[in-house]
Amino acid sequence: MVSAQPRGQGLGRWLVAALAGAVALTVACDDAASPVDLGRRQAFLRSVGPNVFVPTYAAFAREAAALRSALQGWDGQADSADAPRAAFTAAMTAWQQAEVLQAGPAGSSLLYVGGADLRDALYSWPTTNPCRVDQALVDQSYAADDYLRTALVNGYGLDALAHLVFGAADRNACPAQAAINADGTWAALDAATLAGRRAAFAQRLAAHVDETAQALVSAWSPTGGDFAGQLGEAQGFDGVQAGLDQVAWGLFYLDRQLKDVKIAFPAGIDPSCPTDQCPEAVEFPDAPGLSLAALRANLVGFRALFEGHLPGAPEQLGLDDLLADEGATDLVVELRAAMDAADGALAALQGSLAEAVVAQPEAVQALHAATKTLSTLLKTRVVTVLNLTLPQEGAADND
Amino acid sequence: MLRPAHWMARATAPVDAASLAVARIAFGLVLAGGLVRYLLTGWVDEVFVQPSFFFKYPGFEWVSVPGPTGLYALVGVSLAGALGMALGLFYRVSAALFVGGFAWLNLMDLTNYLNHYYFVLIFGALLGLLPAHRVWSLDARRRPGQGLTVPAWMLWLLRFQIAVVYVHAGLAKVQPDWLLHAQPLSIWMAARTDTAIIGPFLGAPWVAYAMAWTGCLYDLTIVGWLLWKPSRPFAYAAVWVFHAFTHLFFDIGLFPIIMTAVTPLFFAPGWPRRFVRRGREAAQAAVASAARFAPPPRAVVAAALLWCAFQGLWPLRSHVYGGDVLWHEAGMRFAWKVMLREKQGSVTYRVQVPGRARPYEVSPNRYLDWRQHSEMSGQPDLIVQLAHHVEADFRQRGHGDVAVYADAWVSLNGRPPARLLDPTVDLTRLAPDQTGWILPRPDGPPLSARSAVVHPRSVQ
Repeated sequence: MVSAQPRGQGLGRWLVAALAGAVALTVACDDAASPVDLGRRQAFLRSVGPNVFVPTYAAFAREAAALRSALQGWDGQADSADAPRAAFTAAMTAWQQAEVLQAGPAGSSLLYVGGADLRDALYSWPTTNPCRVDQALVDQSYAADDYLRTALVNGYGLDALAHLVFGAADRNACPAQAAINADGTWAALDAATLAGRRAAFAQRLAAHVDETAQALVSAWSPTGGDFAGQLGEAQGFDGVQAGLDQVAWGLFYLDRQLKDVKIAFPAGIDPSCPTDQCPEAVEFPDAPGLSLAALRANLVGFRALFEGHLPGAPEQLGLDDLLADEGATDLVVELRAAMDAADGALAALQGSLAEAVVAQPEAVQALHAATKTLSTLLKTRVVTVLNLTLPQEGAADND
Repeated sequence: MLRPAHWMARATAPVDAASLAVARIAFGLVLAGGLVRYLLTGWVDEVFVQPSFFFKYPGFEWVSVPGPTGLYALVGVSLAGALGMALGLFYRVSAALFVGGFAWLNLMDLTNYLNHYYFVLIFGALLGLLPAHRVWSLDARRRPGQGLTVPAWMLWLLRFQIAVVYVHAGLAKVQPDWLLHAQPLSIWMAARTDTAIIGPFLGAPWVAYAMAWTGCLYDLTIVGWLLWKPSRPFAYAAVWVFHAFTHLFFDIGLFPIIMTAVTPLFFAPGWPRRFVRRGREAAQAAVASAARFAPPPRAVVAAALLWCAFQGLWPLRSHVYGGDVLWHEAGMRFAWKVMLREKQGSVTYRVQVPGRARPYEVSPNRYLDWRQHSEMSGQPDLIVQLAHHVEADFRQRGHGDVAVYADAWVSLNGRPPARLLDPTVDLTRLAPDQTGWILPRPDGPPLSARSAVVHPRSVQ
């Protein structure tokens, strides 16, 4: 009995010491905001902004400005649309390269650190609504001061612009029962009025695209929002790995949008297509050649993000190097081969994607298979080796 | 060797109910905190409201998913139950509300299965059945005179339940990927090199090996160290350090906190009174003079023994199935196989519609969110469940009698992806006793522990 009290105090001391030690360790180790260089994954985050995101966005911004200029003098007539269409094609191709770059201000504000929804503002596909664009032509709501604030994302941006620049001059995209057709307001517009409104609407949207593109560049620039610097230091992220996760999420564009929507749907591989082929389901049904160009640009963007630099630019630290760091050099070789195979399959398609779907179904299926191989490697081994956490996986604990 | 009568005498000996009360309070508070976290993080919406398809536990297909109001009410009921347990207020009812509500939440979608949720359910149920509200509870204030002691076997039962977790978790680690290749720890550690102070060293292979072996030895032996009185304080300190590390490096949520909170049950039953001066002497005297409890009814003894036998043996069932449980997953759940695999899969269903030359290829994205997709793609039974749903969806769309095959590729602990399922088997027509539809795990080791050690600039 005599020794009970000292033993109790000893136990207490041990417990308190253990508790204090564990808490101190946890607190010390939880501080991920250290300015010290913390390894290759952080080096990648520091490099990918200036070497991939910023130049890609800057290239797009140049094309967006050119598009704005090209539309200034357009009268809205189809027979004078060559220059606007060429400028749109250049801008859209530049943007498609940026589609995999979804981290930061371009990304969803609900999902990404620093997300400002600029991607959807620029191009909301596959959320598009050409009928809504035609309705705006009729009611001239596009001219209202607050149109860009109140319209849904599919009422402006490059997707709406594509409909205005490439869409049929005398038809609208709405069903017969839609108000503009049922009440005859569309039919009441003469061709000249419609062209004038189309030109004015397109010019307003092009100006907005241009300004949004500049805003995106500024958001990444050291003299603006400096998101490149923020990403490089993983500021606002739950550590360097979380920054890597968000950059890598963009790669899944290849699986979810490119493979499943852009290729499988029109090719009749996806059940969204009720018949053998659905050529009308290509990304740009009114712009022959642009759907294929978009696929090519998507793959260029994918490779740039993977390798950490744009084509022709000096080599930089990329995801390929991070995979090699983990001993997965064989995986890097496989991924490069799969990217080459996808490029090759794409090059084998002739004419437009809509034409190829009908005339070269096996070749389109081969392209789908090539992207599937790439997607499988991405979803299985890349995610495993880099220990990536996918979106929504954070909405739960492990084990 | 003690005879049954001696065991019964020791089992019915009165012991201080204080440690049981502390375990009750800690358990209730931790789980209440966990449920509040669920509410604050928006997980209720993400996990239960947004998905359009839910995977069911066999035998529990009837468990429905309420609407948003019902879901929040369910979380609220569980939260009230957890707080009621902590306060010891209407204790049995509170425990039933908590366990029932938490079970419902967990049975709604199999992709939410976590070992520690399973532990919470069974430990909560056991705790609720025991008179853990006898001291330091509002019930004891409302109805004093319930005594300050409980029979010793009640503590034994809870200690056994904790021991089951550690021992089986340790046994599960005795396998080549963990011990010989330090995987998946090596993969996980490489992603934690931004941790302050120690981060730059976490990429070194020896760290992963040291952690793998230490973790295995810890799990296998910690119960022994906790049971042996001289080592108990050191062992509990190790529990803190171990779980602080697991909390730091792995997103395992409440598990480290729960285990740290309930492990003091291994200390002498009256340990909390050392820290509570008020009424200590009187309580110790009352405990010392308490009469031995009557032996529990035979049915209770039988139920307790059966429960222990089940808990001891059920986690081992994967050894009966053969193959690699980390690959085929048969016997993976309810078996404390914790943190053993980094597994990612890619699944595409091929749906052959009558009269169509080519099959449709269906991505699980049509039906699942990212989290569900990720969980499903490495687990054969879930892939089969979704195949049935795809079949029903196609039938509903008027496609008639379709066949559903799966291209399922999986990478386990960094191995090159390999087919998980036989792509020629129609998953909607699997016979209950059918074998061979899950392909064997590919030969070969997992990803080597990373070759890049510590980069010089990492330690500047």
